[in-house]
Amino acid sequence: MKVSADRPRLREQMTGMAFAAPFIVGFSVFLAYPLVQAVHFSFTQYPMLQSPMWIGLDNFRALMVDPDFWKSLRNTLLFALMSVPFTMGISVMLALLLNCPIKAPGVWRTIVFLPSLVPSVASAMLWLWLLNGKDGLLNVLLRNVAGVFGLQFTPPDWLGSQTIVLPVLAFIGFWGVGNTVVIFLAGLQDIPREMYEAAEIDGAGAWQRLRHVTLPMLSPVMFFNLIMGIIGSWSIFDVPYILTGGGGTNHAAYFYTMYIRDAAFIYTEAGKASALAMIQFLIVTVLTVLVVWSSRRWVHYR
Amino acid sequence: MRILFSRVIAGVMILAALYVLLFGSKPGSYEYPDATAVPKDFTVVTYWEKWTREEGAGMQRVVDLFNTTEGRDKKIFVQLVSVSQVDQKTLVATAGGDPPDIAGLWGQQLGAFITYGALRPLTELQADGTITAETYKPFLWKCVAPHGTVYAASSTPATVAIFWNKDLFREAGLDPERGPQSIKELDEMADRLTVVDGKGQIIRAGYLPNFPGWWDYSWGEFFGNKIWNEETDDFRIDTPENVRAYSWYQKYAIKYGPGTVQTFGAGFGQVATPQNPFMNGTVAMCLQGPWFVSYVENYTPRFAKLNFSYIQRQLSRREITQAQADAKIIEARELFAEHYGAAMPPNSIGKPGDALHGDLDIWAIPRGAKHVKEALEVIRFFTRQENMELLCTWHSKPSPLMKVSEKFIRNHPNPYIDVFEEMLRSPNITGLPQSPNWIRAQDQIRLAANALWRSPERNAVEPTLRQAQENFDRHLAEYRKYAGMRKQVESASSGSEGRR
Repeated sequence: MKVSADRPRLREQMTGMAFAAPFIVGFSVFLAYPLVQAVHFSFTQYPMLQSPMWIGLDNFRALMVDPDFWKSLRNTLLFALMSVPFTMGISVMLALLLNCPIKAPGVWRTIVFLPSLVPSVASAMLWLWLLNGKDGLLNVLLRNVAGVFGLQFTPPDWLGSQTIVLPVLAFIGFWGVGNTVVIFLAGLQDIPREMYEAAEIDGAGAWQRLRHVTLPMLSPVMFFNLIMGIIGSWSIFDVPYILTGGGGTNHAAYFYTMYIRDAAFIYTEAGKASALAMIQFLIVTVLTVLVVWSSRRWVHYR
Repeated sequence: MRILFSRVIAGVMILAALYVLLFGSKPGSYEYPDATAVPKDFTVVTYWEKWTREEGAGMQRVVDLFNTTEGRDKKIFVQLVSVSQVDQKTLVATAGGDPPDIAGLWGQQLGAFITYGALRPLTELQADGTITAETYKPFLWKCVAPHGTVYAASSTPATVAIFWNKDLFREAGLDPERGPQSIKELDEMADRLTVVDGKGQIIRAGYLPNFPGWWDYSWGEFFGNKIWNEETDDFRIDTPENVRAYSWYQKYAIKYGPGTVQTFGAGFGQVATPQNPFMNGTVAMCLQGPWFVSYVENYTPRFAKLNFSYIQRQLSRREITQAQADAKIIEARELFAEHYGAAMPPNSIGKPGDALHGDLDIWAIPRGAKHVKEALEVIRFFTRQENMELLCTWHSKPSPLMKVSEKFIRNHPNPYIDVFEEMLRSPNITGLPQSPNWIRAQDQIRLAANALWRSPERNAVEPTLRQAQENFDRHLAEYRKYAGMRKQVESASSGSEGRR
């Protein structure tokens, strides 16, 4: 009796496994195996063309006294600190605006979402043109405006200056907020109308409704976007790489991912690159755990 | 009506796509336009090459020549694949055991590739006299055979010259036929050619040592620095010669103000575009390689319909005869020489020619290549004098071979090819240390130069170079430590195998 009862269940499990197999195989071959190998390589000296040689924690020790490591870490941290709150703030604001009763909402949503569809290389080229220190559209505009008021003004070299390049790159990040805005917008539309009505009956104004209804009800979406933003800011590579030519003046925009790439493919130190990747993984994990831990205080589920 | 219109548009687009797929032009002009059309008894040799545009067309021309002549007879087909970041991709492909049969690499990485055993020695080409100390120019021989064994063939070599705009020289009252003979004279000429407006902004720069920035690591050579000790494989960055070189380099940023030169430099376009400041007359002198003649001819309006690749296209379409093409090339040469000059670069240790900088691109067979015999045949064909000269003509460069035909010099699109040939033969040429640590050293110097140029107020020359040296020394110590450990591991494993 037992055998006959188990057979359909087994068949069901096998069918399920067969459907999930493409993902499982893909995940194992392209993610799990490389991840395990990267952990292994991080404890080796591995110039790619020779076999990996076990060196224990030497890669990690070497990184602790490597100025490039600290510089790239510092730059990425500063960028994340500027970019994540800025992008979140802009996204929430745009989502709130798009959620207002406006004419042709579809058009506005498309306008906001469209830039995120532009390939990153194309948008980087666009920014290069806009922010060129000499003949960029922004600087030409600034010079002309200053000229109208009779002022002599030399606008900065936005991408060449080592003091402002990180804020500029963080600002550029708003170009791709379309995805985040759409998620926030979905979150906003999910907030029950009764809650606003109840707040209104209690005498809450627009600001209080935003503060005590919208933002708390949006907090699960914020939580999700915050984690994605942290991961994204620690993995940033393409746009800054193109805009700064691989790290900018004095390596002022040399990001962590750029160092991983250089270590692996320019200096052929795959072991050190793997160690860098492990540290990055650890940092992102710790930050995510912190956000998850803190979410008990600020994320409100219905 | 709208739906019908949409459907018609969609139908037309699909038909157009189908037409292009079925009847569109195919690459190459010979019987087997791509590897899929090659008869089954042919061996397909995969050749990865970094070059695109005019240089890529030159490479394809030589490949086509092989495929339609010797390749057809020997049943070998070369498939040229244009690959960006070819060094990195070849490295990964070789490590993964699936490299191309021939890799067209930059010479800068050769030392690292040889050290890590990524390349198969070309001993057959050395033995049959194709690549020897006698057939190659000495500098290139030293590069491709650092310890006497040939690891690569030079595809197109280069030396660096000083180019100047003769029209701007005339305007500034300078002799247009005479370039700077020393660093001091370069500075004086630069001052006379520079134009600054009333607000202190640079309108035209006589010379800027960081333009185009490709050889920022090599300035020490022109001040007598010997960066690489071949015996010890050590690099010296913080030498007195380098301090002098980079003090001179930084002086330009200080003279005009770092903000001013940066704003001026931000307006520079890519080198191979009409926005190149030398081409549009905003920089009067610059360091460049022989290819620059081709760039100027391709992107400066006065050379419209006279540039080499356009002439070649006309020739291949049979719009002009060979004699007409030769006449046009001579016309272009004369036009270039009328407006631009090129000569050996000045230095601070003596007369021009006492310190020269060289570079090269290479063909190599990566370890694990599947068609070694055929790849050797292909490289042997490429390296033949007439084919080498054809390729170097397309690239506007000198030939790597000692023997150069009179026709090569006479019909070369570069009017200063004799200068580049002479430089390449000189014993004073340096530039490509065949060491796995060269890229690290180069990067440290580049970074230091960048800091000195961008923020001279914060970075003094000596401490910046000292810091660069310390950074490099740390990497070198690490490299040596692991190289030693590897040797121990290898000798231990070979010892245990011996006992077994």
